[in-house]
Amino acid sequence: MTDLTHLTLTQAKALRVRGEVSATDLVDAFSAAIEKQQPELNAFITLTLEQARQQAAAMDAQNKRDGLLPGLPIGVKDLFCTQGVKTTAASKILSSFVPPYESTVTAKLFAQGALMLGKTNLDEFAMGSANITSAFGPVKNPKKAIGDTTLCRVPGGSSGGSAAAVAADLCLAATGTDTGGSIRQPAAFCGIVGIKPTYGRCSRYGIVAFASSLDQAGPMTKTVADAALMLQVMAGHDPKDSTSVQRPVPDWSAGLGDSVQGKVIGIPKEYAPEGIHPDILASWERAKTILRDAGCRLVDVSLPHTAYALPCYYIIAPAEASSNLARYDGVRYGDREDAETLEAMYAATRSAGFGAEVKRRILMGTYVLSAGYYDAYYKHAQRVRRLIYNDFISVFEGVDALLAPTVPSSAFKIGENQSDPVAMYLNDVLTVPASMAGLPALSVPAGLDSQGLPLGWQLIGRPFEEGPLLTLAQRLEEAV
Amino acid sequence: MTLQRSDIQRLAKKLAKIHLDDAECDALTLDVQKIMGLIEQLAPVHVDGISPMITPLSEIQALRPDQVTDGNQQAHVVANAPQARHGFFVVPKVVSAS
Repeated sequence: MTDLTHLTLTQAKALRVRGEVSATDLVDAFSAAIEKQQPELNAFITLTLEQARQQAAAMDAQNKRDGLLPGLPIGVKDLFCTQGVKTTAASKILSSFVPPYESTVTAKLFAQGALMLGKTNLDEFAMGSANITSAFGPVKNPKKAIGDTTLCRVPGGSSGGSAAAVAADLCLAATGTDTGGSIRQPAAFCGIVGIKPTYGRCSRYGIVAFASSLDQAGPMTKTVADAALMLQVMAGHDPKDSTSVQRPVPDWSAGLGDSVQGKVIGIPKEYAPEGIHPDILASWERAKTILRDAGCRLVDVSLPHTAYALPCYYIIAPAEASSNLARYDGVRYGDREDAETLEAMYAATRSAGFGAEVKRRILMGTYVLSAGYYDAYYKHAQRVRRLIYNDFISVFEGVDALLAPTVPSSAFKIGENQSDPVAMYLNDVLTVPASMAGLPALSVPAGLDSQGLPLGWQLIGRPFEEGPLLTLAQRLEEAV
Repeated sequence: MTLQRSDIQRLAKKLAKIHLDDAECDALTLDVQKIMGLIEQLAPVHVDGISPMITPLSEIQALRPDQVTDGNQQAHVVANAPQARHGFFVVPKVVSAS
């Protein structure tokens, strides 16, 4: 039998449904792969292999093969609360936190038969683009550039552990979350598929909050078909999250074969910012050719406020983060540093518990929300956000989807871009605009650049039109 | 507007409740000044007549019926507390004897 870890989620599901492979076989195969590669990749913060083995054994004993993900092993970003399993958000302050409840997204996945192999590494509180801000150490990208003698590149972030784990065949698929690109950018850097659905598509209940008006969960998978299957399970209204929408969840897998003939694809001219690598532009041209050959009509479009999306994001996301992270005060959960007074205990706890990037963002957020600056920064940014949104909505009157690169460069080396926070933030310049507008957006592998590293193509769609994006993405995937 | 070291120290202490040592404060001041350079790029954008966007959702958020659906979770609520006693959170004393 071929190595089970090389299977896609869809292939593994077919084998499970036909009874040709047991849940235990799958868990054992991935356990062996994890034990071999985890020491180098550091893709997981917590492993739950024994728990997965027990669940698989129970499933096999009853010959249980129903559900949409029957006994299929996955990774779960350590930002999703998992009942009885440590959930750290890659922060020292939550290093001993064991949630007494389950996030809605993981509950839905488990209800359909998915088995959790472990909690994947990420940037602390999902704040980062290289997985280097984790309190549990950086993750290595399993891909090497031509000339790299060792694994030395970042997997992207913040869902870097999930992306690395899927790319290295340590799980069939993994959950991610995306606030400004945290699913799409690591998916591009590691050569996998990642989709951030429309804001409101998935419940945020039980996901450690970063920026509540931006955070969305989504799948990170080996193929587009896998993404459609997994998103199907993750999506849907949840009474526990009033921002999850009451809309039916379409059968995305069934729509994958739809024709893309006559679809109008917008090419936004602002997505070639200064300094973008020529390989990225060449790759973008290739995607245009593929979609044109598939019968799509390409039109040039303009989203004039695109350049403001990144500065707008770095006001709104830290503002929301500073408010959300006020809860870590050493009283109700998380680590505490003892001190004589309550005020001193708060300050000592937060000083010891948060890393440098988290402190930067809390301070920025506190500043833009403070009296005297609220209107000039925060409220102004919310108005600019509306302009960014309006750009997209008016363009979508004439096009079905937008095609752009996911990232301005391929995966850089661990240690690069670390001296200047703004240089790191620029990684998100092409993913942040869709986040600001709450639009569905995905990254699909675009082949390799001249260094031999993966690149991603990004498709951005109308609100709640994930289906057409997945269909277009599959046409791109087939052509690579 | 440039944020000075003293501003950072005050924000951290008074509003963000984070203790910063001198080296950390120096580093953060430089970083924050760079980030300010990024966010100041928004200043020239004309937003007259544009309403602030607080959420990307265009639909009305769903409300649940106002019914008790949960309860008796005291043990769970304090399970992760750094210090708890008799089902309550324990914090340093907030009143003085004088």
